Amino acid sequence: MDERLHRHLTPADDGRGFAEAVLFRATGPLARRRQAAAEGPTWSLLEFWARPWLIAALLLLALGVAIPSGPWGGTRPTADAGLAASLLGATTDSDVVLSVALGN
Amino acid sequence: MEPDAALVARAAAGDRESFGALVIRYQESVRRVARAVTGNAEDGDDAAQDAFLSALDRLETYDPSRPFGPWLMRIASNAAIDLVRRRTVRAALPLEPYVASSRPGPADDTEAAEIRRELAAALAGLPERQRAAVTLFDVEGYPHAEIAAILGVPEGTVRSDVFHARRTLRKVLRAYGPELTEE
Repeated sequence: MDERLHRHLTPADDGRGFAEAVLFRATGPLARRRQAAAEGPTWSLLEFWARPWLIAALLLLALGVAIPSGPWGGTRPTADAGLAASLLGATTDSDVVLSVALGN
Repeated sequence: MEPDAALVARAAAGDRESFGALVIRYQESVRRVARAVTGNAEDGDDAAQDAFLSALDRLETYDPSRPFGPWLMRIASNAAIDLVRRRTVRAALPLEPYVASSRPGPADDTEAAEIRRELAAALAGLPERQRAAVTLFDVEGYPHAEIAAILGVPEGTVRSDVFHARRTLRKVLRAYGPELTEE
């Protein structure tokens, strides 16, 4: 039965005309694909593989800003810290007055 | 012979020759399945063309680690079934025999032509999925599991479809001698 069906359904031509017809209809899509390939990677490609990394990097940056006391925050010296040190190290009242006047 | 995956990769970049090579390589199988489902050569070839163009549109969804044939056959079966459903009015008209488009040969005598007409009529009497299933199984040689993946139905359904389609076709062929009804 399969032999009969095979013979019954197989086209009589060699398929070249059919292929030409398909290729004619595919001219536009193939040209668009060539153009896309020539233009190289696009944002859509970047989005496809890089978006998770981009989002992760932005989240880490936001965390760094929101929580400055973390290991990424570091310590920032302030004028108040310098003033406190000067006051504690002063031996006389005049030194204290001088430190305050100088803003140390 | 160049592997399908290499041709697909170049076709995806717009290479006309590579896409043409894929069309030439698979046109006969795709046209056979499409002809079986649609019931006539012209609609079958229309559906087969649509299938190749649809495949070109979706080349990015093809997994190169898997065979290209079943992936393409799935698109072809769906294209043919869609076309049949779009053209139900036309399908209701008397079916054209395949005589004009079938391969001529030594058996191309009156009786053979009569058998083909009967086969065409018997195929046309089957539901589209049964036509696709029996063609994929008996003509293209795909196993049941692969046909299930191609048609998107359970394997048991494919076995049932093939069984019922064969039984119907055997009834037609029985009139032409027992040797034609062998599986």
